[in-house]
Amino acid sequence: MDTTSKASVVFVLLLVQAGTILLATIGELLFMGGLPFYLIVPVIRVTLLLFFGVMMLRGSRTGLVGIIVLQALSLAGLMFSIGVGLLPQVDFTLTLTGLATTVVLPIVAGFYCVQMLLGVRREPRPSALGAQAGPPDPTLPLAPQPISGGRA
Amino acid sequence: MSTLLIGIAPEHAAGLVAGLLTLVVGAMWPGGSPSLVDKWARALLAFSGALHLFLPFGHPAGALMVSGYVLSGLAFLVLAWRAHVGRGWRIGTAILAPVTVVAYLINGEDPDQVGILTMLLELTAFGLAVATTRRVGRVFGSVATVFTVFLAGAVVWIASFVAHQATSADSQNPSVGHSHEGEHEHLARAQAGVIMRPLPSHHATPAEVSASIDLAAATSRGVKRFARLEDALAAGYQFNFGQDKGLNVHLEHKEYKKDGRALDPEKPESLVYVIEDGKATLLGVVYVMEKAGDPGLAPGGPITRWHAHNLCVSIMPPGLGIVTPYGGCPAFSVQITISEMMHVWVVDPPGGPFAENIPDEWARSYHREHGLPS
Repeated sequence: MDTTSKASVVFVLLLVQAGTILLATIGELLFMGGLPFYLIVPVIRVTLLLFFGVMMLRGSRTGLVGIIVLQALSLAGLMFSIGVGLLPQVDFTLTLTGLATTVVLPIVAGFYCVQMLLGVRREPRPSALGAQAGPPDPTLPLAPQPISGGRA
Repeated sequence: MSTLLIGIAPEHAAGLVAGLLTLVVGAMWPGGSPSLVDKWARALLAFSGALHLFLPFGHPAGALMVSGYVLSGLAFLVLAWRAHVGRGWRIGTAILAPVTVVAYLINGEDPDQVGILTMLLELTAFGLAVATTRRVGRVFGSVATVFTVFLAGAVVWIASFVAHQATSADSQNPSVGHSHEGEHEHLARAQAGVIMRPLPSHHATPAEVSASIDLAAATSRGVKRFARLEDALAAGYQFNFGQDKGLNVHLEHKEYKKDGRALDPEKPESLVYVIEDGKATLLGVVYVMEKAGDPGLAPGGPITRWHAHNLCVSIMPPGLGIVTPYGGCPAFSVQITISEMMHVWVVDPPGGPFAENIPDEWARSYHREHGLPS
């Protein structure tokens, strides 16, 4: 399975995640009387998501690590919500869409990123083999390539 | 787990099962394009196709609606097959997915959790079509994907709240989110800020009507002593979140919330006032169950219908929001569902004593005439 198309799938999942976060942010903003203060953290989160996504598409290892960290934070938040839901005063409502966006999506995106990261690490470096520095090999995982997963 | 099932309209269960089975079969299907983008597109499009094909089973739709389901289902399956064999699927998906979503939204197809999930998966397929190729322009495709996910969710959200408010229209027919000639209550299954249990029956029996009238009368008698705001404060009620002015000011009694009694007209957990212009008017009460997740007592059957709210409590910065139709919260938030509650009004508003809400204009007008100095 080619890494480029894996990165493309992860990038689209991040776009979907960004849309859902922005929607939730507007919900909170309206609830809290439109105070722009409440925009700061979600906008930073979405910016980071997309920034790391673009870095990943360009073959950056930092982008992969960044995405893994953000998805791990999402899952940790979910675990915390489930834990809080065990208190008698509150409950945790599991929904189909919540399962998709807060469980499946972060796990899949994070898993693919880990796979790509391990793929990068396993790949022998040209310098280690005594090769001369040159243009990136397009067959290497995460080498900058046109993002295309198939024909239009 | 029960809330997960509440979100699934029984009429959509066959479609959901068919979609999930297609995912499993598709994953085991041999051969096909090696591209992961194609594989994901195939899975998402096949899920949607199978779901649409099976929606007419158990779904009381007319011939036009059934034709629409079948045709869109077949179109999605054709695109899924093309993705499987690595032939062009992007342009078809970029057109079909948003058109289908728009059709859901403008046709008044009230979404339950199955509907919202399907919409989200179709929009993900749309993203795969437009944001993974330079032919359309990755930047444009990316912006379009984020925007469509946001917009579709916002429309569903607004529709579900409008439907929730609409219960005020007829307290004898609490048909939140009815559609398809009153057969469904999908918007009550959107679970986006409001959680409601499905009703066994939409029509109250004579005994239930009588019980609801008794409860409304007992509540009016029970809280007469709190007509003056000062008396409520003296009895231990406190402003919720410090809000002490407005058309919908809630005061809660912390002791009554944990006294082990439910639906006690003498000791309602919360009182609702209008407080404006130096005057206060008691509008009604909110009965609240002690333990979250416990179903409310409903002596009036569908007339005395309880609801809960699933909320987002953000930690950084501290704040409150509501869970989206996609089941999410803003960054650094905890998702909680509070105990079930039910309003009972003592001022005979439009919609009767069990209406979900009182219109602002009506409350303001009533307050002008009946408000007591506070």
